[in-house]
Parts: sequence; structure tokens; C-alpha cells
Amino acid sequence: MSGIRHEPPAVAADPAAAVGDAPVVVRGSRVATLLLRLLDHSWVALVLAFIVSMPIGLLLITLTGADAGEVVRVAFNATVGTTNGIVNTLVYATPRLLVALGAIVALRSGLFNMGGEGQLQFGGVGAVLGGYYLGQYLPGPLGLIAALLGAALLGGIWAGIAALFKLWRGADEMIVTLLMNFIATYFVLFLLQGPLREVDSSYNQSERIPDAAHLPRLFDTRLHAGVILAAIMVLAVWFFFSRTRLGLEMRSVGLNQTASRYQGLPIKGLLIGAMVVSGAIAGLAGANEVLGTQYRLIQGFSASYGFEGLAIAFLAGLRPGRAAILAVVFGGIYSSASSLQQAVGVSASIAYVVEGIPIVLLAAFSGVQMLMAKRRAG
Amino acid sequence: MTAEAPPPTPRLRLRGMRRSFGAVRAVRDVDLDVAPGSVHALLGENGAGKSTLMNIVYGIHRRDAGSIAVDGRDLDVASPADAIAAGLAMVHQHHMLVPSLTVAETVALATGSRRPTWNRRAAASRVRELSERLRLDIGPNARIQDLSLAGRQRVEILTAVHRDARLLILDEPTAILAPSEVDPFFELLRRMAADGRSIILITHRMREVFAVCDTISVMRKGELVFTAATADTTPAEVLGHVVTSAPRKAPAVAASRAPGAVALEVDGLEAPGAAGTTGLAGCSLTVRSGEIVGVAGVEGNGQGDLVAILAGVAAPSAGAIRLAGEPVRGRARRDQLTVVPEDRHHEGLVLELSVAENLVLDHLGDFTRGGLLRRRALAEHARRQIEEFAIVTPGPAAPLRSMSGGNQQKVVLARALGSRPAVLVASQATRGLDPGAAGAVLDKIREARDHGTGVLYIGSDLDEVLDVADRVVVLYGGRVVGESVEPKADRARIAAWMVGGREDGAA
Amino acid sequence: MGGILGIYFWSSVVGLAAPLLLASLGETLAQRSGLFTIGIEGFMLGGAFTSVAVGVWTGNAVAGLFAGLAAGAVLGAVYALLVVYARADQVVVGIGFNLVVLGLTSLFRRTWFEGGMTVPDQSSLAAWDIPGLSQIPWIGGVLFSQSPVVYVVYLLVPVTSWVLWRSRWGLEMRAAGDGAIAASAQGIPVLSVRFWTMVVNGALCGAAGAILVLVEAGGVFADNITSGRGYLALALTMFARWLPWRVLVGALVFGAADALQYIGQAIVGDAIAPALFLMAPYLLALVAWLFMSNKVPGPRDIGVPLLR
Repeated sequence: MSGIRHEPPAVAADPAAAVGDAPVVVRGSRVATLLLRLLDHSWVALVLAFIVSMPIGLLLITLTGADAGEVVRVAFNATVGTTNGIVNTLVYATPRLLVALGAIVALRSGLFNMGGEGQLQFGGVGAVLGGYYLGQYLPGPLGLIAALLGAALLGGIWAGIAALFKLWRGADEMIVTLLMNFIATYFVLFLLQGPLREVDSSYNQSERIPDAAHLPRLFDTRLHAGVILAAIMVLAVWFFFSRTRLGLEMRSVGLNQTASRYQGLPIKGLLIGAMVVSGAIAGLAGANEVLGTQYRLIQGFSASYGFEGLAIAFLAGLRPGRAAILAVVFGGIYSSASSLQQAVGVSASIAYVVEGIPIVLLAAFSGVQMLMAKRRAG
Repeated sequence: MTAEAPPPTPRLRLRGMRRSFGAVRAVRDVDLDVAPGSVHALLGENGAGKSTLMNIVYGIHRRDAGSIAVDGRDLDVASPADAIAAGLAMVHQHHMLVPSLTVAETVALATGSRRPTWNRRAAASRVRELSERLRLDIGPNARIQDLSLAGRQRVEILTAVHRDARLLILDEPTAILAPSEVDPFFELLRRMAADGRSIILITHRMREVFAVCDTISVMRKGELVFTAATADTTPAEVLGHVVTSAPRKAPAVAASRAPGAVALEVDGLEAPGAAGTTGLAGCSLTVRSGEIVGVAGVEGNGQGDLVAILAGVAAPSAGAIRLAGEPVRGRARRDQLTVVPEDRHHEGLVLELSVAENLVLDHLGDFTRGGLLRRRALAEHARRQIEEFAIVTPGPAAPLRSMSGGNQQKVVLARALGSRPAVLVASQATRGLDPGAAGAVLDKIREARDHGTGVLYIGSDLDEVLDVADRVVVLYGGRVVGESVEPKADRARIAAWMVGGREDGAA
Repeated sequence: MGGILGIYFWSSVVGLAAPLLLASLGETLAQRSGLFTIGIEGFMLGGAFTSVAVGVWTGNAVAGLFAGLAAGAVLGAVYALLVVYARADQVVVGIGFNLVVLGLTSLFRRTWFEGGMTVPDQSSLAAWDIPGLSQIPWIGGVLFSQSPVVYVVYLLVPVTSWVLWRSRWGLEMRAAGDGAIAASAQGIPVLSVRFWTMVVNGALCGAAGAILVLVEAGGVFADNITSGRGYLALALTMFARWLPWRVLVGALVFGAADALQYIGQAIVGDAIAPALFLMAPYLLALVAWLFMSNKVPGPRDIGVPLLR
């Protein structure tokens, strides 16, 4: 062999690099493909998962000394047994559903937006800015509209910042949005302790929003128009993905970003758009709480809706309709837990256990399914 | 069937091997004997089952039925670890090496010792020792990710010898070698066989089989249909067993018209290229309408960058592209230039979307009104394409994932040709397709050429490129280093250019 | 106190950095082997709770520490079964796992420790001046007057480095993380390597949670006390590019951000709101992430289950 090397150098690196050519730590260009295959559970599997987790919850509660029969009775009344129960279930379901819808928009476009919590915090701020500071000058329902727009705007901007970080520095959005949750929560705390604080109050809360800007109540109960807002968003998200051009493009980007780039789709614009919309919907969840329940922004107003919404999105297999149903289930679980805390003294956090177990079970189940399928197909 | 007296205890004996993937019977009742100290070819077309069979032997797939015996002892292989313990080694087409490790670490890992520490110096000297003995020219501290494909292949062989593997299975090893590297590689194989090792060479290239192998077995559609000692048979006879259906249509008719005006000019393109590739270093070529220009070259010499730039997904650091005389920056219009990308699963198609959606992904605007999709128009369009390109699918709404590779590629082609582009860039258009599907794709490409499209055809199978192209250019080191207007006659020169050598083929 | 250059501040930095450092070292091993542990938050919270629970029941803080470590190991094993053997998606399962751990720890706290969870006597973990070394001016007070647990944690940095680069386990880990299919084809028991690495990670993170509450927070457990520290460790592992010595540097920076909370008021008075100090570590992590995240490419198979 001659001394001159004529080796062809190694083949080019993986073309499935993320936007900006920075290595994406966890996923390649087919995020939504992966997720949809993982999360596509049958109804049977979903129901079974809850059938397993609820008795476990019951067992845990009885271990603390409560009577099983009473637990079931209280839970029943807190969900479907009484009008109050139904109302509470729906009220608790609404913010979770909105966060889930936001997560679905992002996930289907291939973005791991874990920042629902932070986006809804900023949504709360936006609602106060629009509903109180602007709303006091606006007639009637315009205040409400300003509040909702403010919430969507700030939530969208907060999420959009994460998208810009991804495009500018190639920073994986999962970590970015996770960290931004905490930054947002503390920033809101800062606002409530300072600039937005209610004058002459000893609580960390904002001024009360004028009545005209509230989400109107329905049927003279605690149930408010937020539920209608959420229902509209479910339809809107479904329609967007199945019937519109932008929706198809976003789906395409989520399913295979590389191929989408080869077909000339405007990747950067689509990703930013997806994040902004995602954050805007999550922001509406914040508005829902501020304008429908509390009528002001209060420290700690979100009871980890962010992660619960994400959990719902996963369990729903990224489908808006299923997310609605699951959100109601989660709302019922929380309503039961909340009532049980008052009735038998068990921590309402039992709800997280009952909500978390199905996710773990279904994730494991899907994983095993994937493994079996791969082995069969060789 | 074997014409000689049965050999001494075979190194490998397979009886009744069977494996199905769903409805597809990939391996059917295969019996095989491999003698010790021999080089045994496993020949067949794409999809014949050769790799699957050997993956079963190596423990990567489970077998549905059959027995495996190594040196007379029955073997139950549940994983590669079992195969390795039995003295087997396999070098795959897509190398099974960990990129960030050094050669020494790779060898240390392969040792399979369970001691808590590993000895750097011992591993390094072992690498040097083996490298010298086998003339492999590998240093212990090189990182796998920095090595060329051929280098990585040599590391795998070195590891196999380090483990003193008695049976080496090589899957299409010459695919990543330049024509002039093949002979030294075969000499290496013969040296290892002389050591008493057995080698199974999986290949679909006839010429190489007769150059180095002692025995030939032919697989066809999952069955082992023929086995003979190389000395006892001829290429023609073997070919008769390899090919199934009616022989391919008469060799491609040359273009009926002389090529027209210049449709595509690539002028001095430069691109840095990914780590370890040459990128482009002043690449220039032209394509006229009505001609197929073949681009021959070993993988990694800039083909990927060229396609990416033409497709508009990458920008060159210097140089220009002109379509019909006009300079083009970024993405070209559909009627000007379309691309059939190299990797249909990652670059060409979105498998979870339907046939109809994939067909229009690059021109959704034509099927949108007021932001909403015109779904009926979409379905109509799809039906027309399905018919014109004879795509086998339940319907326009069928997800692409469920279709065969050949039909998926037809979708890519249908989309690329649907706009009647002035230029078509086809990269590895027949990769992984069975001969029937590959033929259909090439026919469509020729048809496009006959209708006036200028085609840039990039392929890694030199013979296929020579068969298809009217004119051939050779890409080496990121530049076009040679051109031939009589490609079939110039095979030797072209092969030499592919490694930057002189005309007589010397390296 | 001495303000920002004082011994007190920097000694706090070293101490406050320890839990994050420990958790991050564990996660470094896990990610090197290809596992992305969203559940790290759950490990730390579970370890924190168990350590205080046992500490209260036995009255012995050291017993609590080991209990936290053990709890972490158990949680790690459960998590490993899910992601390694059942091939569950690592992000999805992590979210669910963290929810469950949060729910369980809060539930148990309220059920068994209605009146509050405080370890009565943490003196066994109190700062121990190393004779001789702790007399060195300034450095002595900063580095060598820590709780013995902290010393152990810092010693783990060179240990982790050795494990990664010199031990067989580390070699197999790196192979599993950078080329799992290749490693498997070479006969490496990838699943087993990942499983045990995750168990160790769980143990280390559980211990980190224990140290967080026992040593730093005065032995008190409150619901969701880790509140995002696990994610900080996750981020730290990644922008330290999976190198133990860089993890050390990063942890110290975060420790400084934490320590600022305590002396911040003293330095700047009311000029900067307390909430902003609470935000500081996360902001810091974000900035670091933005500028460090695409330097060296990491193990290629992080988060990818082995399907074979």
C-alpha cells in the first residue's frame, strides 16, 4: 500500500440536529412522533390505570385511620353526588385543562414545554394588569377582555422567550422552561410584595379586580365562565390541528423537523408561534384563577397546575378531547381530596398520588409495548 | 449443493433456521455449513435475508426455529454476549462502536473481564501489537468518532481478533471502501483465514465473491438456494440463482434526444462539512436539460453537503448556484429544482402523516384557502399521483408508516416530479429497495429525463451510477476531479478518480 | 460577620453547595449511562422526608441521614425498573413519579407528624473542625470547619472522576450512554449497568435531600421542601458537561447564590427584595444553561431506551 492515505473521511453527522445545529440533549427531530407513539393508549388502558390508582389512594387514606365507607361517601359527594360537587369538579378542572391544552400545542409541534406553571403565573399578572390597571378605565366587559388579552399576552411572551433562547443559543427548551417556572413564581412574589401589592394590605396580594372584569358566574353557583372558555379552547385546538394549514405544518415539524425543513417549511417561525400560543393558553389558565375565583392575584394561587396540566396532556395522548375528559377526572380527584382533608383530616396531597400513578403505569405499559413491537419487527 | 466430500466438523452449522417479522418470512428453513479456516460468501440481493440470518446467529434477533452449532457444540444464543462467548464476532454495516471512546477503551471494553478496573497501558500495547500484526495501522488513542468509516471497520476487526474470534461475520464490508482499498482488505481476510478463523462475507457484489471466497452460498427471498465451492462454479451460474423474476428490462436506452440547454450550474461551492467529512472545496458541475449526470464517489466526499445546499437547507460558505442562468440563493422554486433526499425516513417523509399530506408538504399554499386546508382537493391530487406513479396504498389518507420502502420512495419521487421541475436531484434513490422497486424508481427518473428534466443522480453503487447516467462526474475531497461522457467504458478511470489516484488505478 | 468576603459567607457557600453537588454527581453518573432523571426531584424529596422521619423517631440525626440514603436507593431502584426495564419514557414517567412522591411525603407528614417535623438533635452532624487545617487563616474557617458529611461529599468528586475514567463500571457506563446499541452488540449488559447506576444515583440524591434538611435547613421538613432543587441539579449536570470537577465549580456558584439569600439583607438592606434572592439560583442556572449548553456534545443515547 502506498504511503499516501486515500481514506474517505467519515460520513456526515446526524442530520437530525435541532434548529441552530446545537446538540439537543434528549430528543432528536421527531419528538411528537415519539410521544404520540408512547402516549397512544386505548381507553381501556386509561380506565384500568385509574382503576388501579384509586383503590391505592383509598388504601392510603384508610391507613391514616379514616373509615373506607366514609371516604367513598365524601368522595362521591365531592364529585358527582351533589351539585356543589359537580361545580367544584368543573371549577378545579378548568385551569388544569387550559394548561394541558397549552402543553399539547407545544408538544405536538415537537417542543417540550414544561413551563406551564410559569406561563400561568405571568398570565395571572397579565390579568391583573389588564383587569385592574387598565380595566378601571374601561367600560363594562371590555375590562374582562383586556384582562384575558393581557393574560394571553404575558403568558405568550414568557413562553416566547424560551423559544428565542432555543433558536438563539440552541438551549433545550425542557430545562429552560423548567427553570423559568421558578423564576416566574419568585418574580410574581416579588411583584406582589412590591409594585403590584394592594395598598394597605398585610397580605402578598394584588388589588381587587373590579366586578365588571370578572368572569361571570353561571347558574348562580361557583361555576364561572372560565369553563366555557376552556371548552372553546378545546374545540379551537382540535380545529387548528386538523383543519388548518398552520396546524398541519406544526404537526409536521413536531413529527419530523428534518423532513419539514427539506420541504421548505418555516421552522423557526412555526416553533416560536407554537410556543407563544402554548404560553398564551397557559396564561389564560392563570387568568381563569384570577378572574373567576380569587378576583385578585394572590401569592401561591397556583397549586402546581403546571405539572398536573402536563400530566393530563401526557395521559390524553396529546388529544384535546381526551384532555378535557381527563381534566374533569383530575378535577374530581382534587375535589375529593380537598373535601377529604376537611372531613377526615388526610392531606389533600393524596390527589397527587392518585393522579401520578396512572402516568407511571401507562408510561411503563407503553414502554413495554414499544419493546415488544420492536422485537417482533426485528 | 456441496460437490465435495463433507468437510471436518464445521465451524458453524445451521439447521432449519426460521424467522418471520409479522407476515414477512425473512428466513425460511435455512441449512448452512461453514468450514474452519475458510472465507464463505453469503450472496444475495437486497432483502434476501442474508443480514437477518447472520443477526440471528449473532444473537441480535431471536430465531423462530432451528439450531445453531459452533465447532460441533450446540449453541443457544440469546444475546450478542452469548455469541461473543462462543467465539463469534460480527462487523455490521452501520458500525457498532461507541463514538466517544478511544480505540484502547473499545478494546478494553470488548475484553469482557469483570475486574473493577481496566489497565490503560495493557490495552494500548495490545492495540499496537494487533495493529502491527494485521497491518491495520490503528493507534490506541484515536477516538472512534474521529476515524473514517474504513478506520472504524478496522477497529471492529481488531477487536474481533483481540477476542480471538473463530468466526467473523462481515456485513457488506466493502460498501465503505474505495475500489482500490478492496484488494488489501481481501488480503487481510485471507491472512485471517490462514490463521484458522472462518469468515462469512455478506455481500451482493458478485465480482468480489470470486476474488476472495472459498465457498459461495446464495440466498433468495429468505431461502438458501445454492451452495458451491468457488472453484466448482462460475459467475454466470451463480447469477442464475441470485436473480429471481424475469431478467430486468433491456438495459436502459440512451436518451432519445441530445441534452438541451444548461439547466443547473454549480459554481465553486464551498462548505465546511460536518466533522470528519471533506465538505465542499470548490465544487463545480453542470446539468443540462434532458440528461442524467451521475455523481460517483465514495461516501463522505461532499455528496451530503452538495445535496443539502441544493435543497436549500444549508448555505455554502462560497460559490453560487444558477438555475437556467439565474442565481439562486436558498431554496429554489418547485418548478425549478426538487430533491429526492438520501434518507427518506428522516429527510424525505413525515411517516406519521398521510400519503396525501406528504405529497403536498412543500406546496401547501396551493391547497389552502383562508388558512384552512382544502381537503377534497388534497385527496383528489393524491389519487392522481397514486395512479400515475403506481403507488400501492389503501388510499390517500393512509399513513405512510404502513407502506413498504419502495412505495414510500415512490411518494417522494411523485412529489419531486409532480411539479415537472427543470432539475431533479436524486440522492441514493434506490437505497434499501428491492430490485423491483429500484427498477421502478430508475424508470421514472429516466422518464423524467426524456421529458426534459435534467437529473443529478448521486449514488454510492458505482455500477448503478454507470448504468443510469449519460455522463458521470467524480466527487473526491469536495471537488469534481474528473468527468466522463462514456461512463461504462471508463470504469477503471472513474474508479481511480474516486480515490484521487492516477488513471491506471494506482493509489 | 465580615460581609461578602467574610469567612461566614464563604463557609456557608461551601456548606450550601454540598447537597446540590452530591445530587449532581449522582446524576452525572446516570446521564453518562444514558438516563435522564426528571425523577431526581422525587429522590431528593423522598430522601429528605425519610431522613427527618427517622431522625425524629430515633432521635438520631445520623440514622436519619442513612435512612435518607436508603430511601433514595429504593426510589432509584423503582425508577430504574420503570425506565430501564419497562422502557417507560423518561420524561413522562419522571413527571408522574415526582407527583406521587410529592403526594406521599405530604400525606405521611400530615398523618404522622401533625405537629411538625423537626429533628430534635442534630449535633451529630454539627460542624467538625479538622485539627490543624482549620487553623489556617481564612481558608481554614471556610473549608475545614464543615459538618463531616460535607467533607465526604467533596471527597466524592475525585472518586466520581476515578469511577468514570478508570473503573470498568465507568467504561461500561460511558459505553451505555454514548452507544447503547453498540455496547449491547459487544456484549455489555447495558440494562444492568443502567439499573445499578440509577440505584446509586437514587442513593446519592436521597442523601443530598437528607443533607439539605438535616444540615442546611435545621432539621425541619415541610411539604415540597426541595422545591426545584432537583431540577437545578439536573441543569448543573448538563452544563458542567458531565465532568465531576466542573460540577464542583457549578455547585459552588449555586452555593454562593444561595448564601446571598442569608447575608443579602445585611449587605443591601431593603434595596433588593428578598424574592429576588430566592430567584437567583434559578436565574443563574438559566444563564449558565444558555451559554454552556452547546459546547461539548454529550452522551448520545441520553433518554433513549434500549429497545432490543
